Amino acid sequence: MSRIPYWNIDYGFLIDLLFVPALLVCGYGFYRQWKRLRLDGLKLKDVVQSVRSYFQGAHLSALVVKGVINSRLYRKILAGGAHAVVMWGMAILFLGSFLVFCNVIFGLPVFQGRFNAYFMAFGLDAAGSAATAGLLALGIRRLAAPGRLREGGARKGVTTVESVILVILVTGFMVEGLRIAVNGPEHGAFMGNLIGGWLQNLPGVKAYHEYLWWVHGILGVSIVAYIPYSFLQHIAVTPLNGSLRSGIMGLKLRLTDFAPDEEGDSEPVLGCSKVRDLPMDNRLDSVACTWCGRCHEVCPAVISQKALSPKAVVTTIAQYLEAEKYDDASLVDEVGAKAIYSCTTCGLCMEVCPAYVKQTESIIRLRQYLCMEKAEVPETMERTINSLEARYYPFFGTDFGEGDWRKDLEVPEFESGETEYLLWIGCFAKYDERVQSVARATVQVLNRAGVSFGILENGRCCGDPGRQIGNDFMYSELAQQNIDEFNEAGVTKILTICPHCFDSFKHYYAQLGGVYEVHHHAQFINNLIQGGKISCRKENITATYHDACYLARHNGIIDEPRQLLSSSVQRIVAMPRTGKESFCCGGGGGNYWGEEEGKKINALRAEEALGTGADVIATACPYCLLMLTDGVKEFTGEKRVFDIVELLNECQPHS
Amino acid sequence: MPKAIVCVKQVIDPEAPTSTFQIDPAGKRALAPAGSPPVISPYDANALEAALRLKDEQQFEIIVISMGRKLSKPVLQKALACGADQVILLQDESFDLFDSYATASVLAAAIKKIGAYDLILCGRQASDTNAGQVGIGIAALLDLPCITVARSVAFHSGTIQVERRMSDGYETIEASAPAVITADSEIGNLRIAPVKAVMASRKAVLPVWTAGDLGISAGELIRTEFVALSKAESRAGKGVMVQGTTPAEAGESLATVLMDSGMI
Amino acid sequence: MSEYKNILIYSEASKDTLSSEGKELLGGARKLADSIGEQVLCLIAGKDASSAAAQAIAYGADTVLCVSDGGPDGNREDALCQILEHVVKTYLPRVLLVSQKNVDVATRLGFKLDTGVCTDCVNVEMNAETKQITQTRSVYGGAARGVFTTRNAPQISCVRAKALSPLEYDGSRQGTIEPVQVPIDPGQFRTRTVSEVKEEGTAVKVENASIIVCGGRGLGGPEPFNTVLKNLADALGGVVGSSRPPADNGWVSKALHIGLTGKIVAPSLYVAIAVSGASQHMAGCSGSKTIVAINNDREAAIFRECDYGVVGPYEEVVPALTKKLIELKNQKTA
Repeated sequence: MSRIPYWNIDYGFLIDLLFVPALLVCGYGFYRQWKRLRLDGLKLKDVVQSVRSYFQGAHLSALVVKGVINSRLYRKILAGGAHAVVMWGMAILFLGSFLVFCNVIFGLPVFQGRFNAYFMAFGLDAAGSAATAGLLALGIRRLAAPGRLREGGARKGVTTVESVILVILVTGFMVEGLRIAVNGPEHGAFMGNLIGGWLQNLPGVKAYHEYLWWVHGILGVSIVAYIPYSFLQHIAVTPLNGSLRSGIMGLKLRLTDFAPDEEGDSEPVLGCSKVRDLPMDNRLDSVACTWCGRCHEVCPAVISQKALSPKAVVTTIAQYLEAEKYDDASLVDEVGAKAIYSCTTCGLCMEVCPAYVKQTESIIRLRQYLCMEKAEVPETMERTINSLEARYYPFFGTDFGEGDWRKDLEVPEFESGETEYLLWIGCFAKYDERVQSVARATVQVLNRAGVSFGILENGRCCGDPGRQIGNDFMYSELAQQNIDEFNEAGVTKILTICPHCFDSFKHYYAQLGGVYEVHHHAQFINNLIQGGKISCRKENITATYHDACYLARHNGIIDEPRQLLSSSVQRIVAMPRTGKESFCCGGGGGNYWGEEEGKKINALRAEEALGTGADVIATACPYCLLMLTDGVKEFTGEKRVFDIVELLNECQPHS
Repeated sequence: MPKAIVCVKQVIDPEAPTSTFQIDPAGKRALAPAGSPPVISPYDANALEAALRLKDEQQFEIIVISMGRKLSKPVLQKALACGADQVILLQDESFDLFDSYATASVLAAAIKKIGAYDLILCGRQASDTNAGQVGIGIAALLDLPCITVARSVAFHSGTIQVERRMSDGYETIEASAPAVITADSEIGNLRIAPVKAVMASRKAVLPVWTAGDLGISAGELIRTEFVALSKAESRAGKGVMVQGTTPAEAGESLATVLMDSGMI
Repeated sequence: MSEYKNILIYSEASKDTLSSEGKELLGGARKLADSIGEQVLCLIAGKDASSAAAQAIAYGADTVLCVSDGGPDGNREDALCQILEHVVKTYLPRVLLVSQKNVDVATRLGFKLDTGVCTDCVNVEMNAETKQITQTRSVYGGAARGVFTTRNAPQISCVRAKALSPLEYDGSRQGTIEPVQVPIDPGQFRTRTVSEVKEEGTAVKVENASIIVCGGRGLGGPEPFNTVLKNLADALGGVVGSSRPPADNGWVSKALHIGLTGKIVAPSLYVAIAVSGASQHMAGCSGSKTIVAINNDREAAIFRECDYGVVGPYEEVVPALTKKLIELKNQKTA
């Protein structure tokens, strides 16, 4: 039994005509958004150029996987599930409407036989029901919305638009039901048949049908036109963002270029204070952001009640962009220095974001402006910068000289042309007493394994703390000194004991011309174990492992440290929030030197770790080691936190 | 425009790790630890900050002078980056840094050569000599008023007003410019320089004046001499550690120990 | 130089009592003078000069020079400089000792007279042959000790509080008291004191207390000073002090700052809580008879210099310590 489109509707084809202006309005809306993103410079050739480079950049598979299928959405299974149901339901309904259009204009035979029954009737009914159920669920939830939706900015107009869509869905079913009430049941249209049954005896059925059909149609067309002017724009922008940015792991910035431009008349812009300074990536981020607040919910600064909300940063940028305030430098003031410096650069926000927004990038760019242009830095971090400038390491008032860590220990020196690996000790191990034993343990382990390694005699830091606080200039200078020394000594391979040094050498030194093969001790020593070069017995204790942000999230090193650990302890239990979702120790972003107000991030993490009941908390990062040691002090006076290599060293037969 | 001259001394980093502190018995000076560059003496940095804060409020020309045998340009270029208008190096083999009289004399000669000024600022004492004489000495040699241990400095049309730290409070003292002020740390830490200012300061060429330029024979100005220099000894404490299974228990044990020892 | 003789000290006085620093200077001057068979002159200026003169003799002075007009309030230092200059030029002492409190005046005088000055000395010794003193002072922030000589006369030394020891009071000592007129020229005053603000300290000044409970940077804020530390100080019958960071941060009044550029103290009991033990701070308290350290960092430098130490968080150690002390004290009195 086939269905007649536009049955009972006079001039039904008008609805198809209305699609034309609707699409034009929609198109104009997206054009305007794109123009804003480009800070008002968009010409036809720019459009052509962008489209061409998009396809050349092979983003299509990412578009499907990260943009459309988007597994990140389902980390929150209920909300994600409801969204999926609404999204796919509406997608199918749109397809259905499009097929009706094709039938009306081109005579595509969609209303016949099995196709009609399975898809046009059953399929669309199922999609519509699911979408309605999903929308209702989301709408009811919004009445008692979770904090993350309200805090950091509550998006306006969501309830209105969702209500309109709900009305479209309901009127759609009503129209179907009314049609079926007059024409009799349709094969497969289970909802329509049901509703038709209820409305069988309604007087004036045909009149209601025609009226509601137009309501449904006009609202539908209007919603399509309205897409880019409402939060519905995320339908296009968010998958686009995902397709462009998904390939990057963690936080990877380009160092500021301090050379004046070729003409030499304009100075480099240091950091970002206004929308115009932000690169296109971060502007697009702000528009792709759906204000869902998942970043806000997991951010250690938010959880410990600091001034920062990553969501607020991105939504503030979005609001400035929308208001076309491209040159208004009050952006950085509105976000606020306190918030900007509370960020530990842990990157968990970027990890959980279903829109693939890089919140941390925007925060750090704002920080660079405050640090490098305005020289506005929190007081304790000022001392760190001063130390780095005066002494080339970030500590002040230390008791130890750079040679103290290796008192009474045989440590080979790096010899040009003979030694294979440079073991980079790093500033924490040299100047902090607790971390010295990590360096010593590493040396002892490497010695026993017969690795060709050596150290360079200098007290310098890799420079990373300066970069974390926002001073790329200081970082570049210090890094250049190191690069010069490395190149002079013929260094090609580097072993680090600190993930920040690892990240620095691997991703940032290369930008300055220092390209080396870099290993972190967790990977390197684990390889030695797997290759049988190291033997050790297992200590009969239970350990729990805390993933350092700069190992797990920014560099994907998650399994190797655990493997290493498992060769020296009997049991490993997992603490909550591990791997890519590891909860920060609070030491990154220069906050190791920050004065923390309120609840301490490291105490929160220490509590989690101790709650596992493990004898020992293992880490592979000196910042984490010190932060967790400090955090543990609130709960017990025992020494519970160790580096994985310290534990390994204890378990090895000493020669 | 009022002019301030700030005297800064380059010293061995007082924050260098204590284990690197070594004495050169022959030279009777501490040795500069390898790899540890010199810094501006901390109270002098406070003095510079005081001058910069005056410049924040009103037009002020700031000239920084520094005296020594072998001065490090990057250390002093920092003064420019933070906002000083000029930096002049007073460099000569004969410039001993440990004699206050000689130091004050050399600095006074340089100040005379600069000519007109309204304020002279120094730190209350240098982190190596800990003597605290140079500021007062400059004032005595140039016959100027001197206000020491300043926690704040204000300047209004030729009158200087200083809040001076006392042992149980502070007093407000006024003097007519020109005058010498020595700075305490309460004045504020030296600010961080914006990166562009740092980059610009790198290109600056700093004028150098020698003993000859100042018409001074520094050797004749020595009034104190080292007889001996030795590392300070730690106080020899008993070092008894009081333990407990909990911190609270240790606290209680400590109470008992103290009562038993008759100290209370 | 040969016409310079005797040791001159300057002491402040209040009613009929010399300042404690004055007594210490007399004790030190006595030793210097005795080793070369010379005299100790004691200069006191101000309205209490003559009433304190007798005490000066009992503490070791041979001659007390009393200058009744100490100069106007608000220009004490300027006046003192003129007085000292006059007295030095009249009596030509070979050595002038003043307390470190008067360092500004002494330095100014030294430059005026073109003679060497040593400040913050912890020891002064006489070479009996050359009749010149050598002066020991801490340098490099307390990391080193330097022994100095100075050129020209008089040799001027500013001595740190509690570095020298006073003699025993001896009422039977004989000496002369000389009133001295010094014309003070206000025209030479270059500064004027506009106002004075006294900050809250305790009734007992930290530098005079015999028991001090000192808090450091590790306390994190002003509150613990007013609660945990105050309770302990009360239980011990002492006062609260601080190292430099709390004073710099404004958590406590600067009057409580103990250290190289703060107060020098030498109480019988010094309890350092959350204090790391840097040399600048130890310079201020190393004269204490007994040092007790409580710190959460077992590697803190202060544990190397203390007599008794507890490693642990102060929030748990100190209240328990206070409570037990009160208990034990009550038991004693009961």
